[in-house]
Amino acid sequence: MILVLSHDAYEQGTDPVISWLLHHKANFLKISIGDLLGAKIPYKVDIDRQDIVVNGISFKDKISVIWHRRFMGEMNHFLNFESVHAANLRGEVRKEIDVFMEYLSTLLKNKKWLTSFQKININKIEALNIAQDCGLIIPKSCIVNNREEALKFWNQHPEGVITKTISGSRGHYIHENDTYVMLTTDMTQDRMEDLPAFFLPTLFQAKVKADFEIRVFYLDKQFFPTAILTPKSARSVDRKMDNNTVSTHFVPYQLPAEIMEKLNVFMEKIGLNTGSIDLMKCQDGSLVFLEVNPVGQYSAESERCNYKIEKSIAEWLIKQDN
Amino acid sequence: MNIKGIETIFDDKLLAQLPPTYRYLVRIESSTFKEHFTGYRFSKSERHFSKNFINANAYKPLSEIVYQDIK
Repeated sequence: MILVLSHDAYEQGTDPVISWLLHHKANFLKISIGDLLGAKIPYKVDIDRQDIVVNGISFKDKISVIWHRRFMGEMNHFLNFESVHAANLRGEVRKEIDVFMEYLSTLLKNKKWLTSFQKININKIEALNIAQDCGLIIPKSCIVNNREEALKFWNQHPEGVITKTISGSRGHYIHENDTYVMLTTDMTQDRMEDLPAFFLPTLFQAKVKADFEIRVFYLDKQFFPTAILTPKSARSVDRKMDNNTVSTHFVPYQLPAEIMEKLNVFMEKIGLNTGSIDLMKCQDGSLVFLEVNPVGQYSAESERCNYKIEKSIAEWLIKQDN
Repeated sequence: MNIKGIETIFDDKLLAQLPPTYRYLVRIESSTFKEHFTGYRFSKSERHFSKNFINANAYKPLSEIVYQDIK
């Protein structure tokens, strides 16, 4: 049986896979964090037998493969407390849930996972070093906490410098009729000079002189690469701002065999069997590794390149279950 | 997506406690920000275990165009 760990609400990468599981009449069960925390379904964790029983289904006996995708994403709904002690309660309840989830993942550690529980939040800076060790080119990068060092780095890179979050997270804040999103930021001279003398550790990277960006969906040694072509005149420092413009085109791309070999080694070293890998195709012909997102969205590339990635994921899960 | 500019919603006191990235947020008109799914009509599907469900889009016809480097 296939176990899907995902959202209770809309999750664009999960539902199309479930449609294919239904089409193939696959034996599957989907569970959300809401099911476990929101008193929606009865379950028992049998510690003596080291088993989880949900709706009478023994995970130990019945589950063979687990697709883990954005399962903890709705956790914050369960941490809203109206109390003067809210901050304490949030911290304590979060710890209870984290330890509980960690135990559940331990009970299921011998199952076949598509993104193991421990690898859902990889360290993106460490990923750069692992990519480098695998022979991939990475952007010149540094984390600094002061203007002087940041300016020194900026002066060393006349091609320009960007900054983005260390974790890869992307906050957004709704205010009146607008949404404020944190994306990759171009650090112009004005912005560099406006930096305070000291600040929280911040990631700076040299800009890559790129012809275009490549998004690769990776599934257990299968590659689904998409070139994202935007005319230079219309290109933003963060591709997400260009995705839906008329001048941006998504087309299938053939990765060089050498890069695929390196990416296979990289994914094995980092412990991922799926992920969305971002690369830059440089003007000199080289490919630069930017990052891997263990649970990246893939529907835009799948739809526009006709890759049917959701069908491949469903069929991969079914194959592991048989 | 209607991008209105780069600015912040945080005051100087708060910005002093945050990484510099919070100074340069992209301001987007919410109704045009696709990730909010504004204007979408959701259904629900018990078979998908989903309380907010949208049918997947239809595929486009195959173009057979593959972008690759020719040396």
